[in-house]
Amino acid sequence: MSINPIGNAFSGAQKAAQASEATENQSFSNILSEAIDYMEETEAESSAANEALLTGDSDDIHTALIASQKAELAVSYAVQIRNKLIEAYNDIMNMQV
Amino acid sequence: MGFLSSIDISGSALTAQRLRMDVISENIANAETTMTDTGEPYRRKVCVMAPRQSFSSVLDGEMAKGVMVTDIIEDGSDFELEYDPDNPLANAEGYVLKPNVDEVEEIIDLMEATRSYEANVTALNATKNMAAKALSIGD
Repeated sequence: MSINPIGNAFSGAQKAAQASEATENQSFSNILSEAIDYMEETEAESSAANEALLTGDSDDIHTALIASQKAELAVSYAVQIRNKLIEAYNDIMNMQV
Repeated sequence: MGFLSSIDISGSALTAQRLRMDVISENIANAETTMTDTGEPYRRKVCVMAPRQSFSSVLDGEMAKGVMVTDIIEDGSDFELEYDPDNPLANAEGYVLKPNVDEVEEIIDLMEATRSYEANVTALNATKNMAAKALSIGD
């Protein structure tokens, strides 16, 4: 009887996992990390716009306010995604096995 | 993200109307300036606005997003004449050239710019409220 090396079974499982990761690149964790990146980006823009307004580089009040509103919306979006993720997680954890 | 780019449209309009306000204020401030560097009285300035298109979006064939001030041109109409023979700037007939700025027209333009600014702020708030409401889907 021939004994297959254990590496064969392992590499088969690895390939299957990689294939499934490639097809579902819109998983919850990716969406959440994208949302957090966008939140950081808009927050940085908002800080820069506010600084420009206060130091006198920019004459427009509305640019700074629009940037802060965008940052606020981005934060709400990230928080909602997180809520949905935690809700889904709790639903699964509460399942009776 | 796409849903926040519609806020940029209103933002560009606010910037354009602010610039128009600056031009109107300059016209009103210089309504009595009889001598500038060019030797003529102050000429009334006018803003030219056009839909804003970034170069990359033109290549893609997208529609314009917002408005921008493309040019600030000078009004070519004639200067006003005021009879004042004792003025050192008077010409041979005793007339002094005054700027072609009509204060009443400028004040009306000012009210127009203010109302346009307010309308764009309302549109911006409505867009933001729409986006915030959408985030409450599923609650």
